[in-house]
Amino acid sequence: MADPVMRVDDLNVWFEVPGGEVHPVRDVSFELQRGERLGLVGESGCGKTTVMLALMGLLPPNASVSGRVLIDGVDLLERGEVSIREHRWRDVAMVFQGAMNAFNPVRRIGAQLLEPMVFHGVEKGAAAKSRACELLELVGLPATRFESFPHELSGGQRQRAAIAMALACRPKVLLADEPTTALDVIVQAQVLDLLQQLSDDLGLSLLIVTHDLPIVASLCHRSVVMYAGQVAESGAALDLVRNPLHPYTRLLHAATPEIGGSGPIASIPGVPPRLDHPFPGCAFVDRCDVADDACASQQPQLLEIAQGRAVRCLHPEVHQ
Amino acid sequence: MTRYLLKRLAFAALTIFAALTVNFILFRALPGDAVSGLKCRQCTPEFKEAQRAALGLDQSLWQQYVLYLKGLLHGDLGNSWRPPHPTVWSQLWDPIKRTLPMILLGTVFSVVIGVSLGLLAAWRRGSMLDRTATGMSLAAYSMPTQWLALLMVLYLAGWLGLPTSGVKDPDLEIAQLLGDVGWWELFIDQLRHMILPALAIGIVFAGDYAIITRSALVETLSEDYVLTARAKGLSRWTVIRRHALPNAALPIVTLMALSLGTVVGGVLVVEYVFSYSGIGLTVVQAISERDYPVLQGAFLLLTVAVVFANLFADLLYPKLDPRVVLR
Repeated sequence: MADPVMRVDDLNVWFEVPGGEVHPVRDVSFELQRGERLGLVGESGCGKTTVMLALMGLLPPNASVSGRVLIDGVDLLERGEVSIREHRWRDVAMVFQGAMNAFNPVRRIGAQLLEPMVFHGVEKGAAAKSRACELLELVGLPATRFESFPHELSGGQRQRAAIAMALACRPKVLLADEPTTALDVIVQAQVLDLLQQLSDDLGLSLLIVTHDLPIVASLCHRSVVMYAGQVAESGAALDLVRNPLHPYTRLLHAATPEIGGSGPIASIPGVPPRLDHPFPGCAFVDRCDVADDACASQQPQLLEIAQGRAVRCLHPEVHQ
Repeated sequence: MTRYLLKRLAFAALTIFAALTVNFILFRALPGDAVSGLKCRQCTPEFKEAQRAALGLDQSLWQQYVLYLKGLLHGDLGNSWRPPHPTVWSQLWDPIKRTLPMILLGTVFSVVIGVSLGLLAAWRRGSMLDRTATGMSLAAYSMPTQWLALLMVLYLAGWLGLPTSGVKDPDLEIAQLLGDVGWWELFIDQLRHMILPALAIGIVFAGDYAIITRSALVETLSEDYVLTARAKGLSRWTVIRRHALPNAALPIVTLMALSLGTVVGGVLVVEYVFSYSGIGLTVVQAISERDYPVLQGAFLLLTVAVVFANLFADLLYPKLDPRVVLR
């Protein structure tokens, strides 16, 4: 299934900050196949949201970006803001982290659903309106929500409406940035089911950013684990959970609390490295439980261990 | 909603009552009265006493206050103390007709100038343009109105060829009496007399609008829904027009209602500089003559206007932001 709809090549992001430069995304590359669900996993501050925003060219003005983002072979970043604008929402749409606030509170849901369709000339007039109503029903909301204001919807409903809005222009790729963060567990499961069902039914390619490894394992085909702005490990989602190669993946999974479990919740000691200078060795060396002297001085490369399975570690935990 | 309105109206009545009481006391707290300033040959102490008695100034403050309230309840603002003692209402009505359009034009100027400046500053936040626009707003905000008005008389009036005093061209007034002048010419002439005073007020208050608009826009532009709007591919201007400006309308409308009182303060000095015989000039004259009924009448009208402007703004909020519920 070598039919990537989206390819990210050597994506780098720098932020100009007072007193220097921060490098939160370092040589990130991955492919998203057509109809595939890919999870981008990592703890807060590992650069996953920055990757998302970079894919849509939505980083703040103090950011600079290098690398390529190809959608069906077309480089979105080639000419900066100008070239990416026509692709936004048409080719790549997004469900935001703060989906509670993804809607402008003073405008009706319907108007905000219509907006991208009309702007990109996908539909107009009555056809656009009926499509908007269809979309609302598709995500499990009554079409009457077209006339509602955002504050009249619950958090889960708003998230559904945000998904409907993201589908408005029939995008090739849907980015979902922590789509379930602010929701309670039941609604969370419903929204995830919805995403899975939509991607199955519409053949939608989905890139989900989350810190929640179990979500990825249950929802995604493949996943990419990020640490300190780098890809630490990538492979089939279930594989990563059952057979982690990178110590970070293993520890991250171990840190997931279990229902009915007793005792303290496991955590990974230490803090991620500062991102304003290059790493002398492995980025994870200070927190790793199997690190040795080599890890402190030698930068591990991302190595493809098996088909579709890569890891950035000097001592990958291969269990035969 | 009806409940809310009734509550607000009751509160408005209370506010107006309190304000007119304070006004009543304040004017009388000034040393001297309408008679003490009289200087003429027949102004003997006996004559002055007779004058005081005629104006009711010989009664106690309390009696005067009760009389005043009684009159008000009958819709009677009283009579001017200046001979031939016309009613206060007739004294105020003509100046109001001249001042109101001037204030309106001034508000249009300040909103247009202020909102554009604030928009530019917020759009290019942190840039040279932002600093220039913010600096200009602060300068306008802190500028003494009368000083700006004088500068306009000195430099701008000649350059633009606009009249610097009065509300009407005297020649045109004569022509009007003779009946050979169209309403259009009269309208243009009055507009020309209005522009400079309105612009003076407009510029001074534009600073307020610019600062409010900038901070409101900067806040909305950092909201998630603005990021969503950009992600939709909308151009920057469309994002601001559809997703930031409507949200910033609330503080702007609030400022419009709140600034009405201060605008009238500005009108006082601006009309003085431009000899624009509106309500401001009437008030200045009434102060110098200690014409209490006219002063009380003018301030009562101002109070009513401010109170109702605020009520109107409050009623407008739910239209601007559906999350606002009045109760």
